[in-house]
Amino acid sequence: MNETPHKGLSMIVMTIFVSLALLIYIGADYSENRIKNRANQNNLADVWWERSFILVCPLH
Amino acid sequence: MSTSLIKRIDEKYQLRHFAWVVVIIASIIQMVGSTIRNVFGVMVDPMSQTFGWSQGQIGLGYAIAALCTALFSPIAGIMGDLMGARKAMAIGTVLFLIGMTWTASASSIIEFYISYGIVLGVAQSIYLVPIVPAVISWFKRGTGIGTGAMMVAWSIGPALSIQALAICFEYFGWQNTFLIFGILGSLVIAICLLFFYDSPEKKSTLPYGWLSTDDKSEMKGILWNSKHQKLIYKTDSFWHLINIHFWGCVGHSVILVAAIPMAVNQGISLVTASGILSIIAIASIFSRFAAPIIGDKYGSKPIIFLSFLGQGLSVLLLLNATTVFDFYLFAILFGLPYGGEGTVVPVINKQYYGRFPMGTTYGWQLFGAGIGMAIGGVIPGVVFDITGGYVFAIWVSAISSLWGAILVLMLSNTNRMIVKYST
Repeated sequence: MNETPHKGLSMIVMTIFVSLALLIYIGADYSENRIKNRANQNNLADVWWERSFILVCPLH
Repeated sequence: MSTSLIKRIDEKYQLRHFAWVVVIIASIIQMVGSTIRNVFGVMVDPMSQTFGWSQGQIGLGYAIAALCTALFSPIAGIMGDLMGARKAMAIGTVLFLIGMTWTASASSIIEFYISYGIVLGVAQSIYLVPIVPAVISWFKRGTGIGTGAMMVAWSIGPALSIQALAICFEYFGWQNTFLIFGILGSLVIAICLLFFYDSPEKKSTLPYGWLSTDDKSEMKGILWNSKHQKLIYKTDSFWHLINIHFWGCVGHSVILVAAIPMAVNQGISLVTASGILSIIAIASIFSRFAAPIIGDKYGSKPIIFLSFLGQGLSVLLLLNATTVFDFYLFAILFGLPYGGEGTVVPVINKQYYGRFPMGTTYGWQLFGAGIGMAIGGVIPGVVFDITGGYVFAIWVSAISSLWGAILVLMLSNTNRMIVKYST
């Protein structure tokens, strides 16, 4: 039997990273959408979490 | 039914064995404990009318409860292993009573979050986690049929009690219903616990399926201890099973939340669209019963792999679903693998780890499941807000289930135990 379950733990770590990546991507997309909608209504309010998602996501 | 048939069934399944009493009690307790969670959808409007809270505010109470259940699952498992399922559930019953009566008298949203979200969320995990390993410990052989019977009762029970509670909400109001159901439910569970035994050893009897040729030394040394639990933590399969639960639950929670809105979006009426969830529920009853039996008899890995594969592939039908027939066909093809996906896990635990108490192990697995349900449940709404459709959510669901199927392939074979306990 293994002393350390490398495979099992590495797959869990991968799951956490994939989930975080998905969360960041969807969050950034959602934020971008909200900002655009507000801009169309001439509302330029600054929301910290929207800005954070877009800042962290490399694809947005 | 003729007397000889009953006799033959009795001979084959030992119907008078106490293990079946334990299965029935477990089903009743689970049914009572989970009803309030399952009936949540019916509560939203009456609560909104009473207090003027928004649907989002009330929905957050559900999310808190789901998260508390997930986060507390490992602790509930440890409680079950250390003090026994019966004592753990007695504590759960006290929490259930407090949570129900407090929710009935809650007057602020914060009070509702604490009473319904935290107290009932924790009570739910205590009902959910320790009881399954306790039931499994009653079976030396035939674990599959014991698990299958329990899982079927869990599916049918809430379906019936939801209707009963919905009628009570209508006639007595939601606060009185919570109060009455809280007191009666606690009483029913307390009575059930009087007849419940954590294991055959505690009743000084032999487990179901015990043969005279079996090694009696196996009956000793099955008390929980951290040394043996650490051996379980050191297996890859322990971590894979948490991971598999997570991805499986992301996969089906997306669909359970989004199936009706998807159909309505295609112009199908709400009542007709509701039929999708009913068909999924009915189709899944069959596989909930059959999957543990097949897993127990022929090995669990193929059946859990096929369940994940089926769940992932069937979801893709939704990409082109436009008619009622398309959605109902999807519901059948999705419901069958969905039912078999999680119910085999207690059998796998037994195949991997033998008769060692499984509460802690199962608690961690339900932790993965709970987090998956919470994340998967949020995805469709957010995706719809961004894209105006559900295509991305469907792909997330399909990929999650198919990734779960790949993880299943990494599991050890279930034809032998993967830990060797030293005495």
